[in-house]
Amino acid sequence: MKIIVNLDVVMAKRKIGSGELAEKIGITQANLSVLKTGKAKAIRFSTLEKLCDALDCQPGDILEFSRDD
Amino acid sequence: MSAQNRSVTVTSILIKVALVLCTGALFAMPFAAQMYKQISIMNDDVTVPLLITFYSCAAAGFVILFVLDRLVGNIRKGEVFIPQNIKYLRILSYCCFIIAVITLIFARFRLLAFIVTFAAAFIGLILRVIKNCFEEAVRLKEENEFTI
Repeated sequence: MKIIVNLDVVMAKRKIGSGELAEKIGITQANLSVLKTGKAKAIRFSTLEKLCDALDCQPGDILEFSRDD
Repeated sequence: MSAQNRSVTVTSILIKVALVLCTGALFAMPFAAQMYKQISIMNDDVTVPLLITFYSCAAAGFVILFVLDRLVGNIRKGEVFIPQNIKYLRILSYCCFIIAVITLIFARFRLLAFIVTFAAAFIGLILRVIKNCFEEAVRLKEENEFTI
């Protein structure tokens, strides 16, 4: 079981680059990269809120639960 | 220099002093063993077991001092909660247990050696608990670093 981060998919749909998004939500590009590559252990509600606001989407568009049996 | 840096420097100096004293003890021990034989009220001669015990413990002691020096070096660099330090703490606790076992064998000749056995085993146990705390701290640090 794991949480998949589909941030790159949403970013591609919105045609927004990493630099621009990082600047909009106020995190570093390195941290955004950690999030995009699925290396993040957790995400703060505040970050998720800013992401949803900047990408005009729902948390479910960014995060996906997968049951890999 | 901040108080914390000064404290680490003092610890580092103390380790080096202990290293010099232990090296000196390596050369002085045969003479000390002879002296002990002369002043001992017991009839049996324990010079050889005493020297074997001492030099076996000294090997573990030097490993301890070397590892402590590396540990303090990491702390000085600001790298405290890292997997390498957990490894160092594990080595330190094993060395204490080794010393406890060696002195336990020597306690067959001199019961007073039990004091060293008890102290070494106790310190080894404390170090294991500290090592477990470090393991948890490393995990928490990693989790914190990867929380975006």
